[in-house]
Parts: sequence; C-alpha cells; structure tokens
Amino acid sequence: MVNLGDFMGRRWDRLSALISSLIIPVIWTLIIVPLLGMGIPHLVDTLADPSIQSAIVFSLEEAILASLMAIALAIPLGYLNATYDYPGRRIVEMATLAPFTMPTISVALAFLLMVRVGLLTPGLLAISLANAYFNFGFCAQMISSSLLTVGKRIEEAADVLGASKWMKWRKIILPLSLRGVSYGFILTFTLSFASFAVPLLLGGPGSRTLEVEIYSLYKIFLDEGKASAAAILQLIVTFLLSILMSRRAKLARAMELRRRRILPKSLLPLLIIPYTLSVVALYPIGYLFLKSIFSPYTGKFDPLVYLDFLIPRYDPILGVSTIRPLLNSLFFAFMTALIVLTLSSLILLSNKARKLARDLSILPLGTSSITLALGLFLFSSELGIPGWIAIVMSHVLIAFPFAIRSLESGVSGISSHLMDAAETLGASRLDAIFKVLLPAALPVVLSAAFYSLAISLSETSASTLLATPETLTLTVAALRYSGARRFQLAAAASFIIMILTWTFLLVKSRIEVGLLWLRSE
Amino acid sequence: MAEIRVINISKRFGETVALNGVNLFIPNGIIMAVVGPSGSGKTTLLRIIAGLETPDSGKVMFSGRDVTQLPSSVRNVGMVFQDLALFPHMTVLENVMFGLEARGLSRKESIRIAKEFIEILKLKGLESRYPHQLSGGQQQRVAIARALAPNPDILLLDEPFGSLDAKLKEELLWELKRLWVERRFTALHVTHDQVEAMSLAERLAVMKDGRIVREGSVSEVVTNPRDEFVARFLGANIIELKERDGGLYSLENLTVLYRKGLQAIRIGFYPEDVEIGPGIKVKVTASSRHRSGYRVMVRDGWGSQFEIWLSSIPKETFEIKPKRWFLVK
Repeated sequence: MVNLGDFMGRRWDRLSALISSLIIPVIWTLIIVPLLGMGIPHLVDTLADPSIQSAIVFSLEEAILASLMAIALAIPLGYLNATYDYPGRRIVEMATLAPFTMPTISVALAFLLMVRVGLLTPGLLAISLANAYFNFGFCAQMISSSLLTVGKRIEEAADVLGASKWMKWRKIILPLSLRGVSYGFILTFTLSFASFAVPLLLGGPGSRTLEVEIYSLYKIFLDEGKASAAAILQLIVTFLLSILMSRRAKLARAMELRRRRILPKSLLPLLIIPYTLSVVALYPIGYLFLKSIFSPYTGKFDPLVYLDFLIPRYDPILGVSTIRPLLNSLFFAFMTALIVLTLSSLILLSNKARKLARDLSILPLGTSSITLALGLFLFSSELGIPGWIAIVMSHVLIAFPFAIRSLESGVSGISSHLMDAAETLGASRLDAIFKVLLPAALPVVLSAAFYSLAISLSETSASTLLATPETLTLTVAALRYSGARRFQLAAAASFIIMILTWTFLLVKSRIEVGLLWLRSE
Repeated sequence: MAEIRVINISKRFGETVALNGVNLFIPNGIIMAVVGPSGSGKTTLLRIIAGLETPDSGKVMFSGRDVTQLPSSVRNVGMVFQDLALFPHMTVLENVMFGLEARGLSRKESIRIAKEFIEILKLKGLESRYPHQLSGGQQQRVAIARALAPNPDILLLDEPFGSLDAKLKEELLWELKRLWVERRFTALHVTHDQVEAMSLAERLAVMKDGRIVREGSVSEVVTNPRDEFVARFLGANIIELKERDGGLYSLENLTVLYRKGLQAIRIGFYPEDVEIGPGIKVKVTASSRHRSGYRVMVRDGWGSQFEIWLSSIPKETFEIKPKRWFLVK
C-alpha cells in the first residue's frame, strides 16, 4: 500500500535538495549583478585605458609562459611516472605534487625570499616561474593519468593489428595522452591568469596582472567603477577558460590500467629528471621554513617567532592582536566547512540536485577570487552585511565547486539502490536515511568538508580585498608582514597556513582511502 | 588463412600453472571453440597464440612456420577482445583502417577495404561515428570488422559476446557464421558458454586445469564426451547402473547391455534426450515452461537431482528412459 506520509517525505527531500543546489548560483547572481551595474558604464573607458591593456597583455604573457614551462617540466615526469617503475617513484610523485597543495601565499613568499637574495629577478620570469612551480607537479599527474588510461587492452589491440612501436606511439598513446597535456596547459593558464598573491609580491611597475590591477583600482585608487569594469573583463576570460577546462576534464576511464614496466638499465640516466624535479619542488618549502626560524637581522636560530601567533599582543602592522589572524582563519574555515557540509548533505538526497549543483558550480568556478570579492563587497555594503559574513561567503563560493565535485565522485560509488533496499526490507524513510544513507555518505561529506577547510584556510585573494583589521586572516597577515619587510614573520605565518592546509588535505585523503570499500566496481 | 598448431605449450604465472603441456591443432578454414570453466587456461592459450603472452615451453606454428618468439604485431592475427578495446579517439572507419595501415597499405587502399568490411558488417552510414556513439551490437560489429579487414591468418575471439543480451548474441553469432561460410577463415573462439561455442564452431576442445581433456568435432564431443567433467560441462546428467547379470546393468527398470565383469557403469544423457516410459522412477521438484515444452527438475530414488526436458508434465511421480545415452569414465 502506498504510504502517503512516505510519499510526501520523499517529495519534500527532493524539493529541499533542489533548493539547496540553487543557493550558491543565486548568491553568485546577486553579487555579479551589482558588479555588472557598476562596471558596464565604464567598460569602454576601461578597455581604452593603457594600464588595463598592459595588465591584460602581461597576464596573457605570464600565463602562456608559466603554462609552457609547467608542461615542459611535466611531460618527461608524467611519461616516466606512467610508464616505468623506478626506486622512489611514489616519493617523487608526492614531492612534485606538494607545490600544488601549497597555499599560493606560501609559494609567492618563498619566491619573494629567493628574489631578495638574488636567486631570481622580479618581474615576468619570476612570476611565471612561481606559477609554473605551483602547477607542474599536478600537470605531470594529469599527463600520467591520461597515459595510464591508455588501457592495456587498447595497446594489445594495436599490437595484434600489426602496429609498429612508432605507429602505436603516434596513433594511440600520443593522441590519448594529449588530453592530459591540454588539460594541464589550460589549468595552468587559468590559474596563472587569475593568480593574485604571486604577481602582487613578485611583480612591479609594468608587471601587474589584471587581478592585481583590479585590486589596486579598488583598494589604492578607490575607483570602484573602473575596478568593476576590469572585473567584468576578468570574468569573461576566466569563465571561458573554466568551460574549456571542465570539457577537458572528462578523461576516459580504461577497463584495465596500463602496467608500469621496470625501468631498463639503459634508461637509468633518465632518473636525473624526476629526482632533480623533486629537489626543485621541495627546495622553496625548505627555504621558506629556514627563513622562518632564523632571524634575518642576526642570522641566529630563532624559532620562537611562531609563538607570536599564539600569544595575544597588539601589532601595529596588523592593527590588531597577533593571535587574531589565526583565530579568524580557523573561524572562517570552520564556518565555510559547516555551510558547505550542510548544503552538501541536503544536495545528497537527490541525484538530480547533485548533477544540477555540479553543473551550476561552473558559475563561481569561472569567476576569479578578486572578482567574487569585489562583487561581494558591493553587494554586502549595499545591504549592510558585516564584513566577516562577506569573507565567509566568498570562501563558501570558492570552496563549493571543488567540494561538490569531490562529493559527486565519492557518492557515485554508493549504490543508488541502498535506500530502496532498506525500504523494501521494512525500514521507515527516516530509519533508511539515518541507518543507511547517512552512514554510507558521511565519509564523502566529511571529505568534502575537510577539502573546504583547506581551501578556506589558504584563500588569499578575496580575503585580502575584503579584510579589515578585525577580519584579518593569516594569509593576509603574511602579506602585510611581507609588505612591511618583516619577512621572518611573513614566512612563519605562511608556513603555519601551509602546515594546517596540509593537515586538512591529509585527513581528506585518509577519509578517501577509507571510502574505497564503498566502490563496488 | 593458415592452419594453427600448438605443441606442448606450458605456462606458469608465479605458483599458478595456467597451461600444462597443451597440444592443439586447428585445420585451415575451421572454427575451433575452446570451452572450460574460469581459470581453466583457455584465455592464456588464446593470448599465447596471439603473441600477447610468451609460453614457458612449447611451440606455436602457423602453417608450419614457428611463430613462438614473434611479437604479436608481426603474426598477422585478428582478435576480438572481451571488452572490444575499440580505440576511443578514432571513428569507425579509422578503427577498421588501423590494421590495414599498420600492414603498410596505402591510405586509399585501406579506406577501400575498410569500407568494404563496414558494409559487410552492416555498419554503413556509421563510418564517422566514434565508439561511444554506437550501441553495444554496433561496437561488436566494428570490433569484428577491424579484426577481419587485414585478412589475418587466424581470427581470435576472446569471449566477445559475454556482455550482450541473448537476442543480440544470437544475431551476431549467425552473422559471424554467415561470414565464415563466405570466407572460410580459421578462427579460435574462447568461451565458457557451451551453447555459444557449439553454435559457431566446427571443432570443440574442453579445457580443465590447464589441460585439454577432450577434443574433436562438435558432434563427436557432444555424442561421446567420455569424461565425467566434459559431460557435466556440456550439460549432461549422469547416473550409475549396477551389474545385474553378465553384461546387463540396471537401475530400477532401466537396463543396458555392456561389457560384463564391471561392478558398475555410469551413463550420461542430455536433458532433451529422454522420454516417458519404463526406466527410472522420478519425482518432480520444480518445473518451468519452455518454448516447446517444459524444463523439469526431478529427483530419483537415490536423492540425485537432475533436469529433463519434456513436452508435457504427466504427474508428480513417473518413469523416464533416456533415448540416447553415452558411457562416462
């Protein structure tokens, strides 16, 4: 017999799931509309402005150079990792992926410190190198994954059909792995084009990206109209790039993965590539750590600088107590995670809502952090929304597209028939949700929550634009210290952010390892 | 096309013996089916013939030519994989052309031959589609066209119909049989489905634990499986008859004449080869309607349960007699 209560319950679940999936797109629309209103009248003037034009050209040059360098480093590394097993391969993979998991402020500071001792010169090359450094390990992993999806059977089919080694490489392996190369290129290009902390610290006059230009127009020249118009230009470019990227992301999954071969002795000299790249990847991290524990004035060992962030003391550079940035960062991160977790849990209830949420998350994903922050500022000042809420909203908007993707991939492993099975076995709808669906989905939701914690904690751009002394985050504190040439404090702040981010990412990956049992395929 | 001879092939994977001294002969222009349960070594045998695995010992000969050490790419074989392994980034035409171009044919010639096979396999109009834009049956046809287009010495089929529904499987088996009648290629079909094997092959080999336990023409193997394992694998029922009187063996009212002096003999019969009449008393435990009659599960007086096919179900308890039977070792 049809139970009307259950029927209503199911309908209500789906409705709440659909509403939840629309919250983020609605907020996005609400903040973009004032931005458009403010920016469109200034669009022509802004486009004609030589400083904007040079910022666009510089952003493009810097992004192309960074992408080319990242790909050039990633291709040999990705190919070696996908094809051969060699001593230390896993360590190499972890080491070279480390930069991509670093907060951008940490990367920017590490490179700035290297610039200061003359290892690099500031400007185009330093910015591109820092962005290439940030992305090359991830690009290598993308190339590796796409090569690994050239399944064993596909290669065997080519062998059986009589293909020579060259033909197999040219017609099968190369075209299929090119998807990884192009995805890596577009990803590096997008992230470099929209990067903020790196060009802010490593750039100078004539080497400002569009993102830095928007920030300066708004924060220094107080020209909201022009800043909004520049943000619209940025929005158009990043949006197009995001669409391109999400299309490329659909890499084929092979039935049977390619087998790695033991590296032949004749190719042993090639190991210099992965080992050197591991050192290159770890060097800035170590350098940043060393700079944070040695006094720049006396050169003496001084690790107590870390205590500055734990003991309350008014700091005129920050305009607030030194403990405040850490507390703010943690508070914003937990609020962000809580909101993302609540939304994700509701969205989980319906397959349709999940797909809708994922598709619509392209809106915030295709918007640079500075653009989002500027829109949020205009929107929140109109409605009198407190600054800390605006910062949390910006972090939620930035973290949500990543969290929903992580959620989607985790949930795809859970059988859609679990709830039906529980209900046919006599469980009430409430019982089925609490005893079956939530325990099965909890690790997925927790993993998305830890991802959000990490993203919020390391977020720099939006926080820099929106922060006041009361809402200062640790990333903004690191920027302020570096602006005041207090490099040891800046290095320590960014090292704390890095360690916290890595801790959250580690917990996330541990949860995901635990999730493997859910996958029935 | 060539005749294929496998001589004393053995292969181990670590501690597991996959093949243990296998000998097999596939005459020119014949389809040979190799059947056996999972892990019996049939796929390893096929992969060794394809050149995708190297045997630990033994030889593989194509028309008298030793190809054991030759890589797959120069053996001139065609293979339809279990998961088809169509190239996902190539169109139907490009997939079918691949083997032709690999053999050095000009692009023009490759296109001509590929189009011919696309037409033969009823894929005309789909040349520019990608594998993911095709149905399961169409993908299967592309895989067959791709394997046959370069005119291989042998076509190797590695359980290619496993994922298809019954109707589509039957359609494709007929299609392949029609192609074989027209072109008389040599083929080796590996499957765990004996019905599928018999509907395509001329000769049949049954494998168990890395060995071929029975080999012959399909009708030889079916009418005289010899071995209990083979008989049971082919779906036969087996009963034991006790010696009653010099050469006469019986179980209830079923009596057969055989060489005297054995205490007992075992006979096998297929479910469809029984009739109602004086023989063994059985009791119906379950039945299901089949197209032309019933599939009936019965239990005899000694507790054995087996399946028989009847045109009608007489009553709860009745007697059956095999119309055709064979002796089982």
